[in-house]
Formats: sequence, C-alpha cells, structure tokens
Amino acid sequence: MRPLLYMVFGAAFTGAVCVSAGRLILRPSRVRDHSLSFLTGAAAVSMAIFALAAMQIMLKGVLLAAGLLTIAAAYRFTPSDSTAGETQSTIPLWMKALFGAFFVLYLANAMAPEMSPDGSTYHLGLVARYYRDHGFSRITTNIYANLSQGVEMLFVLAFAFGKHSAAALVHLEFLVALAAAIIACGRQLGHPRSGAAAALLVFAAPIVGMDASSAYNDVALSAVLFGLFYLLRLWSVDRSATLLIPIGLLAGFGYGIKYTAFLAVPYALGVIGWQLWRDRKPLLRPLVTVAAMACLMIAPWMIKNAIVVANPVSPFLNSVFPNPYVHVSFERQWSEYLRHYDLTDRRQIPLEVTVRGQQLSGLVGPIFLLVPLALLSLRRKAGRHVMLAGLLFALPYPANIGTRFLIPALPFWSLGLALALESWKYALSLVVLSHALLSWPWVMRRYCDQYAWRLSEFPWKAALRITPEDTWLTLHSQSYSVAKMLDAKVPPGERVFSFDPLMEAYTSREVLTSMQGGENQILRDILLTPLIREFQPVRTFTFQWPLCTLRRLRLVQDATAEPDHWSVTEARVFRKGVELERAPQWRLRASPAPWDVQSAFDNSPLTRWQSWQTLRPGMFIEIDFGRDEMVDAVSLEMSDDQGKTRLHAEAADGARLGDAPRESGTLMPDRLRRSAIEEVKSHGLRYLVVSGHDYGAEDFIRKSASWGITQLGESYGYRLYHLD
Amino acid sequence: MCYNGRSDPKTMNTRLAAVAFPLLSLAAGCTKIPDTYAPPVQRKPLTGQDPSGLRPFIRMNEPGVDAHLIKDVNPILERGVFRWTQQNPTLQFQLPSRAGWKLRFNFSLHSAVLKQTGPLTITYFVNGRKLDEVRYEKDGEQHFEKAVPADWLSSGSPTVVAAKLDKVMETADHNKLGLILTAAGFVE
Repeated sequence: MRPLLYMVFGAAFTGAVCVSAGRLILRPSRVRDHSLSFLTGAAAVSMAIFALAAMQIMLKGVLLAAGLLTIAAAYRFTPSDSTAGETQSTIPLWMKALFGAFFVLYLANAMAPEMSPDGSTYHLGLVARYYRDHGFSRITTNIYANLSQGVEMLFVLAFAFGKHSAAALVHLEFLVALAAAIIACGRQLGHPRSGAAAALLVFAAPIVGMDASSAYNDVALSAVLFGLFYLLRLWSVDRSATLLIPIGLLAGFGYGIKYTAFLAVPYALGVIGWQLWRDRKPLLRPLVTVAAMACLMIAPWMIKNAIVVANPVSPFLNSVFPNPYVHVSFERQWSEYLRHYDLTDRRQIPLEVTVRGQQLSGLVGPIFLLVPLALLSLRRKAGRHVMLAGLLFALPYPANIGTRFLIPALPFWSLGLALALESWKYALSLVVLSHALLSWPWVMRRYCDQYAWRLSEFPWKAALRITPEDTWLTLHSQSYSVAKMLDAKVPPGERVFSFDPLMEAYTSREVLTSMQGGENQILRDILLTPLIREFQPVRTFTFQWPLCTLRRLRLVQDATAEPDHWSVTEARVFRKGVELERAPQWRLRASPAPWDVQSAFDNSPLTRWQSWQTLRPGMFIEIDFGRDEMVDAVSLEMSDDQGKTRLHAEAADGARLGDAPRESGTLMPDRLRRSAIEEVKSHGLRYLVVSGHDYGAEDFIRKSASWGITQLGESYGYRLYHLD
Repeated sequence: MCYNGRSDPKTMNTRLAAVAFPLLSLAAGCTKIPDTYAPPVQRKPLTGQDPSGLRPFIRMNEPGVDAHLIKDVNPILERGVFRWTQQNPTLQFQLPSRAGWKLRFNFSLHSAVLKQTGPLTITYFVNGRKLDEVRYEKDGEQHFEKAVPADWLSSGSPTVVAAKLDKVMETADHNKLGLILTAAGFVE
C-alpha cells in the first residue's frame, strides 16, 4: 500500500507544484486556465530543478520544501477562480464517457510498473542517476544524457517520492492538460464542438495513450506546443504584454523537452511579429521579451552540453563541433536509420502509422487517414491558423519517422479535421466514435500488427500494487532480471560494459552501452578485434625514402570514398631499418579526431586511431619529433576494412617522402583476447554483459579462459562476466 | 518577474545570478580538448601460454570439455559417457606443435539412426580443409583416425575440426540426431 501512496503523492505533488507555479506566472494576465497554468508552471519548475541539479542540491528535502513553498505562494497570492466548469459544459455526455474510459485505461497502465523501452532504459535511467547523484554528473558515455531533458527534470521531482510509475503519471498529466487545452482553445476559436472532438481524437489515439502512459516526453511536448498556440491565440485577442513571458517560456520549453521543437521559437516570434507589424505597433520590446524567456529555457541545456561534451547541440552537428564523445560516423548512421527505420519505401508510412504500427513503433489509428480532409478547414481563418501550426510542427518528422514523432502535430491536425467536418451533420460524431472504437485495445488487436507498440492489457492489480512491482516486472521483462543481477553481483561504483541497452532505470550501476558514446564504440571495437579479422592490423604500408633530416612528418589520406573510414593501428618511424623509440618530446596530431591519435602510437594491435568519418582528402596524422631526426621510412599498420584509402607521406614543407607505399602483411601476436580485456580494464571497467545474440557470444563462453573472464551470473541469456 | 512588459533591473540581475551560478558550478568540471599529444605508455605483448584449457584430445566426460565444443554437439552428457551430435559437429583443440598428428573420432552409430537415414557418409575437415570422406553402413562402435599434414595445423591458435554428416535422424519432437560421440581430437 505504501508504494502506491508514494507513487500517487509523487505525481500529484509534481502536478500541484506545476499548476501553482503556472498560476503565479499567469497571475498578471487574466488567464485562469488550469491547463495553461500547468504547462507554463511545468516550464518554470523544470528550469528550477535544472538549477538545483547544476548546484548538486537535488535532495528530497530541498525538492519538497521548494514545492511546498510554490504551492503556498500560489494559494496566498493568486485568486482561486477557474474555468473548469465552463470547460466541462462544452462536452457532450457520450464524449465524457469515452474520455473517462480511456483515462481509466491509461491510468492503470501508467500506474503499473514502468517498463517502456526508452522509459526504463534512458529517460528514467538518467533520472534515477541524477537523483542518486543529487544533480548532474559529468556523463560522456551516454548520448541520451546530452539531449535536452526538460520533462525528465519534472520526472525527478515525482521520482524522488514515488519512483518510476510516479514519473509515468506525470507524463499522463500532460495528456490531460493537452486535452483540456484543445477543448478550451476550440471554445476560444468559437468552435467548442470541434474542440471537444479534436481533444478526443488526440486523447484516444493509440500511440498517444501508449506514450502518455510511459515515462516518455512526446505527449508533454505536444501539450506544450499546443499550449503555446493557445496562448498566442489569447494574446492576439487583447495583446496583453503580460502573456509574453509565458509565451516565451513555453516556446523555449519545447526545445527544452526535445530538440525537434526548436521551431516553436521562430513560430512564436513570427506570429507576434506579424500581428504587431500588421497593426503598426512597436515590435522590438515584445519580441525581445519572448526571445529572452525562450533563451532562458534553451540556453542552460546548450551551455551544459558545451561544457560537458564540447557540443551545445550534442548528439547532433558533431562535424561542426568536433568532440570525442559522439562520433560523426555514428551520428550519420543513426540519423540515416531514423529517417528510414526498416522501411523499404516511404510510401509505406501512411499505412504503418495509421493501421499496422510495427515498423514505426505505434499507430495513431486508421481514422487519421482522413487527415487530408483537414485541408477543407483552410476556408476558415481559424482553420488556417491551426493548419499552419500543424504543418510547422510536422516539419521535423522526416528526420525521425517513428509514429510518436507525429504526436506534436496531431492536436493541430485533429482540430483541423474537426473544423472541416463540423458543418456536416453527424459526420464529426461518427468520426470520433469510430476512432474511439478502433483505438480501444481489444478492437485494435484485430487489425494492427501483433507487434505494434500499443497498450494491450488493463493491469489493475499491478497498478494498485496488489501484484508487487518486483514480481510483475520479473514476469514481464527479461531485462529487469538482468538489471537486478547487476545490482546483486557488481559492487557499487563499478561500471559495466554491455553490447545491448539494459534497463538502467532499475540498476544503480553505471552501464556503458556499446553504441551510445564515442568511448563505448572504442571499447566495442577493442573487444571485437580478436574476433573479426577485418578489424585486425593485418596490412602494413611502408614509405621509404633516402635518409634525411626531418623535424615533422605527416601521413596524408588522399581519397574521397564511402563507406570506408581511415584508421591506423600503429605508425612506426625507422632509421636504417631500426624503429625510432617514441620519445616523450614527440608531439602527435591528427585530423579529424585528434584526441584518439595516441592509439596509433601505443604499440597495441587492439587500439587504433580512426577518422570516424568517411574518406576525404586532407585527413592526416602528424609526428613532430621535437628536434631534427634522421629518418628514412615510416610504416602504417592498418586494418583490412579500408580498401579505398590512398596515402602519401610528406615533410613539414609539404615535400613528398618516397613513392607509393610498399604493402606487406602483419603477423598478429598471440593472446589477442586477453590483451583486449587488459585494454578494456585500462578504461576503468571490470564487468561485461554479453547477451546470447551478441556477436561473439559463443566465443566468450567457450574461450572464457583465453579472454581471462569469469562468468558471475546468467539471466535470460544475458551473461555477466568479471574481467579478471 | 517581468509584468506588463516592463523589467525591473534589480530582479533581472537576481535572475541572471541564479542562472549563472549553477552554470559556473558545472563549468568547474569542464576540460579543454588538447590539439597535440605526447606518445602514450607503450603496451607490451603478453607472454606465456594461452590459458584456454584446450587440449589435443578430449573425451566427452572429461572436465573442461565445453571449451572444445563449437557447434552441433549436445551439451548434455548422456549415461556419463557420450554426447549426441547433430549434422555438423565442430570442435577445437590446442596442439603444442604441428608435426606428427592424427585426427581421431571415437563414436557409435545407433541402429535407429541408420534405420531412418540409411548408410551415412561423414566428411572430416581440419581447419576447413577436407581430410577424408567415409561411408558407414553398420551400427555400433566406430573409430576414425587419419594423419593430418603439418601445414594444415595451427600451434599458436586452436585447430578446428568438423565431421559433416550427409544425413541425420529427425525425432518426433524435431530434434536432429547424428553420432554418439565419446571422444575426439588429435593423437600422435
């Protein structure tokens, strides 16, 4: 019973603090809308928690005291009137019943132990870590820690009291706020019936319910963007300067939740600027106010990234802001995948996102195939405003075609569709009823893909903790048992390397997942080099020239080609056939990826400098001897996965050294496996998780003695090894 | 707060300070990425024998046998003596030298297997090279032994051997059964 009470308290307290903060911010205006209070307050509370995290004082007592003070201030300084009764009056009884049915379904799922793919790995994995560390810690091995985490800051507040499910409930609060804002906005537009219908179209959409019941952030983003639209509508009526601050906060909070919402800022500035310019009113002060407030919400995330990972918009634009933490090649491959997923043809998208739901992780429901009808709403001014916002917030979708990336535009499309159908008798009601019916899980399973990401049960026993959280998670998730195995077998403070993502939200051990950071990729490379011949430096290219004095020597790559990367496992310099000892005064440089250059000079066949970019002319490795040296040859030991590389050697003045390189083979030393483990240990890692389907899984089992690893435990095919 | 479009400079300063302080706290942990680097600590090759536990020859009931099994050999030891194989039993062995070794397989053929499959042909491979092909028509105990050219063998790394059956028995529960393997490896 106690976990249930804490969970409800955590979510309710977070909601109350947000509403209170919002009421304080909206106090000077005449806006008394609970949904706008919640959304505006959420922005401010999120940033306040960011500040606490940066100051490392994110403690339960501090969070409780700050929250209670906010609630008390709102109670003391703001009037208690509301428009709730008015909102309800615009909704027909049958719609209320449908809202109620879906809400109960979502509530049960949100209260059930959190095990969503992203929620249980990184959204709450990072929340749990921040809470453990009382604030931000320097995380350079998890790209998700570099994304803006505005909603996750609110999750921290809920998590501090009610753990994982409290965070999911906070996300559900955003869905309620979104529906209320759509209803209120419909009324403000003079189309209350359309508002209510659009709210239900969004509320019942399967992907929205699934997302909102999980510790994700897409529905929160959608709510914030719609709240911004609604606030701009209110501002356009009375042009109150007092609304500019919440408008700026919400515009910036969009980016604070998800980078893809960066368009909210130019949108807000554009709407305000256009209306003031048309009315010949002063532009500068209102625009600066909105921009400054937006900046307040955006800049901290950018500055945090600039400080921690040397890239304000990490994990993107790594070629503009080069850094060791996210490789350009990873960003490119990842972005490419997000643009296509596993689809063979983009024409599959409409059916995937509306009916099937497997390839793109979820569905909005078949009724949204009618969205083109929303264009009919362009006949009305309100329709044009709604559809413009819908178009704008859908623009980032091609960059990630997952169904949930449509959620930010969904309220606008729904409202546009409702406005278009409103004038036809019964059409709107029929569409809404059909949508609700087709979105009900027990109906949906008859037509969608069996593996579509969706709600599929009503876990009321788990929600009420009649079935304990641990029991339910153990039964439903293999990953949960793996996370618990880490807690049981790995000492506190130790880091664990895993080829696969694990449920980090349920373990207090730091997990480095192979593809989630630059260092992680290097560790993966080291572990796979003994198993993959193409990774081994089996080719040696030697440049030879008459003995001469050099101060600096540069090896340059000349080709342009894809998909090869240039890599050098070892670079050795010779005088009359004898290798020069690598002296302390040598200075090594490389471009790109200068930070990895030492890997080409460490005498290890398992580590290599890599360009982490496809081949382009001018890539180089440079040795500054620190004094004049007599040399006549340089050799590069390189792997066999870069057939398109073309190289030359040159002196400091650009003069070519030698002709084309002579190629020979390199013998691999014995005991590569053990050497790989030693390299991994030198990165401060002592534990390794390998799942049954990981590359080389069998080799780790069969040749554990050669690797020098000891199996500590096994759970559902995941083996935990100690690096001896 | 900034109400009615007007900013109070005093409160603005307080706000700026509130933002600047946490960010400066973060900046304390900031490190600049250098442009040039000195040569790192030089790694030395590991010396000594690979403690892989692999031997030249292994019986299926000996400790450490699992390390020798690569593919298609049942991990369950039956009657304390043998393991069933499937179609392509593959094993690995460590040899101290290359010259003078013979590949040996000790196994039995079950009458039920031969009854379903008919005569069996087994092709023996060493490090991917075909060593021999033998046809078996009778059930019961069998011994295969044949000398292996020295240049086929590896001494620094494991030598992989395989026995490829042209047919296997399929049981009612879709298990595939081939040989009753009791021992395999290299003998001098």
